[in-house]
Amino acid sequence: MTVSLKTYRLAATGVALGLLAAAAAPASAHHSASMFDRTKPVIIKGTIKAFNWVNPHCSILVIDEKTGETWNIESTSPGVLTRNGWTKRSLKPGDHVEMSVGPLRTGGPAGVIIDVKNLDTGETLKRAV
Amino acid sequence: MAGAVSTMGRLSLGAIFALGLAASAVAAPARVGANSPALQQQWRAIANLPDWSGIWDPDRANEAKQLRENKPPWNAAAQKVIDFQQKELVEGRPTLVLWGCFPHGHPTWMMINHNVMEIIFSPGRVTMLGEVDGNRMRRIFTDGRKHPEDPDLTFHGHSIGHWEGDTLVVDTVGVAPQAPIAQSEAIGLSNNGDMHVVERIRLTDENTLEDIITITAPKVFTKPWTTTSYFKRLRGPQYDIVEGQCVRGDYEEGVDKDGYATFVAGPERVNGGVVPIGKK
Repeated sequence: MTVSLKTYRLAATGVALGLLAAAAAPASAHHSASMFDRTKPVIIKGTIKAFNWVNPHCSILVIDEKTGETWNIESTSPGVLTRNGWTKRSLKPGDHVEMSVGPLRTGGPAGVIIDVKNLDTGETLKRAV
Repeated sequence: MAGAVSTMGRLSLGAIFALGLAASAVAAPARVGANSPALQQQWRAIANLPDWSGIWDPDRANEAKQLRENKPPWNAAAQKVIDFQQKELVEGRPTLVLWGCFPHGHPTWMMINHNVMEIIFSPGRVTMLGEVDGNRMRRIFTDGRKHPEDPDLTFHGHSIGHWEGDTLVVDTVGVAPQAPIAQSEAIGLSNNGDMHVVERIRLTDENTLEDIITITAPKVFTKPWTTTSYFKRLRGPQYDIVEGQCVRGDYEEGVDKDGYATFVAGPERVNGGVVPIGKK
């Protein structure tokens, strides 16, 4: 009985902390992708800087070989990608890739993934949704 | 092979659950149904229910179709907000209907989910377990209980269910007014309270689960509204549910002052996405 009360209190504290965190930085969420324009894809050739395999959205940082800019490219969640054949090792820093990206409508080096071809292995991975 | 794995999973889960219930029986008086000692006959009765094992993947094409073709009967005030959201969506400024990593809530979780779920039968209960966060989860009591008179308001409400043949009929009240009724991540509104949801869930073929959802939401609808969701069954370990902590996206990996691995707040993002604010 004591144990379950303790557990309850811990859980309640966890929820309270979670709410505080959410209030401080209400950033992550399941969101629409209409800020990106998939109808006007751009092709980016470059080198992977980072592949962030995190919820709720994975992201890929890729250095555009033409401009030297780092693109921040959003994807869906690890769960959805996993069921479409991706793993956290699908892209590694230093990999050479060609990506098709739906760019941010407001401009700038950011967008949503359409597909990515790993030029080192020849493998193509598609966005999952 | 996949079937064998699935059966083993169910058996071992059942055994663990039964052990837990046996242990709790020492402290609590016996009662029929959920939270009671699981009699062998209750577990055997579960074998006569339809087979809802496996991983259920929401039918995204149907979600899009419902959004296009099945408009909810929003009242005039709500419709104004929805129209504004629609305009914003087209112009590339989607409203953040699901914000702060709160759960989708009921019934939105059943309507616009992108992630899979699994469904577990146990004596007196049907449990739906989602992929994202521990709070994407529904407990549907099938032990004959009624709704509480004055339930605590929660994102998934209080659900009771009963079987009509192979159809699970679920009645839900007690949903928090903040829980959205959403047709997409950018189109939807808080139910604003007093919502009542009835679902009829059944297999329409071997691998398709149908959920006919009727929502009565007097604060935002002019009349009850019915929509239908479908889920496709996936079998095999490659489709297993993975952990998904929504709030993780707000943090980056770090190390604390004593050298222990931790998470540190990351940059603020545009609209819940990965793009940092101010770095277009």
